[in-house]
Amino acid sequence: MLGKHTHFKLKLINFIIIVIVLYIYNINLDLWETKEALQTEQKRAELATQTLTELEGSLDSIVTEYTKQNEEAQETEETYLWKDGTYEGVGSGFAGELTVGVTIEKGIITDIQLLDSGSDDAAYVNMAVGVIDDMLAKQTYQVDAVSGATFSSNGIMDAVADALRQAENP
Amino acid sequence: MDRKKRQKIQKGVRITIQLVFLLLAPAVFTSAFAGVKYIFTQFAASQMLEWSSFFKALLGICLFTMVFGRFFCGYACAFGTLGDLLYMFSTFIQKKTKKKLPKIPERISYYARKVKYLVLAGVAVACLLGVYDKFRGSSPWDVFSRLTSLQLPGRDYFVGIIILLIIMVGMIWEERFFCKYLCPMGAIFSLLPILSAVLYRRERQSCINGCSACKRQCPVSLNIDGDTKDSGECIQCNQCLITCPKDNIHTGIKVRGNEVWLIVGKALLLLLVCFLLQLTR
Repeated sequence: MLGKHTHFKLKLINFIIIVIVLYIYNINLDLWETKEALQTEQKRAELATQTLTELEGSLDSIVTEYTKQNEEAQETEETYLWKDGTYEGVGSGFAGELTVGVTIEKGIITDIQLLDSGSDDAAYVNMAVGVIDDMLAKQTYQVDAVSGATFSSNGIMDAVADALRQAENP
Repeated sequence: MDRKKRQKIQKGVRITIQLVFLLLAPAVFTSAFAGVKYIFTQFAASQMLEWSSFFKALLGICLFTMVFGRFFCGYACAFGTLGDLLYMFSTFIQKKTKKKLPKIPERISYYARKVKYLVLAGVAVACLLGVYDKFRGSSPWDVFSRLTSLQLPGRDYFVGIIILLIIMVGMIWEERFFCKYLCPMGAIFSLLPILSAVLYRRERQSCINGCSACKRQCPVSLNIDGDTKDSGECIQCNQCLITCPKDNIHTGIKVRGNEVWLIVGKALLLLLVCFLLQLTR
């Protein structure tokens, strides 16, 4: 049937089949294992995303809670940094004294008016009033001076500082 | 060199090689067999087959066998050597007492050879079902490998010791009793494609009428005819070649009178293989 060496050939075919079967077994198992590992990885990733979302949610609620508490605390607080009212302050500009009026409402600086610009040149003063908006926004007299009108700016800041000193709660 | 002298030399060489392997690499059989068990246990656990040392041992010995025939069985297997030593002792006693043990009839012997496939199948099934570990204590190979590693098998090996003793009685009764009938590795080896060139064949046209010296000397009582359905049984012991009074036994490689070096070469190569597979002491 297979000519010479029949038994050798039959056994060889037999052997090759066994080797192929073992090889296919291994490859299939390898694929299967890779697939399984991938699935596990995906599951882990999903879980991580979910946890992250949950964490974000809880963080949000914590922030909201904190802000609410803070607001409540501010409302109930009897003493602010500054007393309500309008205060006048004086500071020295380039060529003389500058006078400002500072209005405090519920502990917040709501308005700063330049009442008297002294002997400073109007051009400088007009530039220097830029610090007022800055001060209102930052709720402090310590802001950057307007470049080119440093003396007038510093004068306004000093005047506001003076006024705030008067407004300070004991 | 006359035949008797040559036979003596070859027998001496063979037993020397066997003893060297028994001392240096007694665990090759058990390691290769562990490789078989490994494959089936991995199947059972649907685990990948990795290059474990047992798997390598199995593959290494199988490849060697495919190229050189079952030289390992004839010259290197510790279990085979045990059998040969017991049988030598047995023939010595038989000669002294001038009494002969009855031979196993050829027909029974022929069918009994198939038992080793059952043993192999049994081990495979036990591994697949994951129950092999329960029979650990009854494995005669485990007992024997404990002995070769100079450890006494403990009490939990009781069943194994009994089975080993029964096998040893068989080894005394008939040459290569275990290898022929029971060895699961032998079952694997005899299914391997062995290069026809290394198989012994008999040139019958010049045989003396009715002579069966080669077959009678063959430890596995084989009809020596090259590539037959039973050629996997041949353990490459070279006994037939040195026995034939007409020098009618050949392998594909025709070297005459120089077989000793061929055998020593094969033995050294096998020893190297065992060394590379880290199966030597």
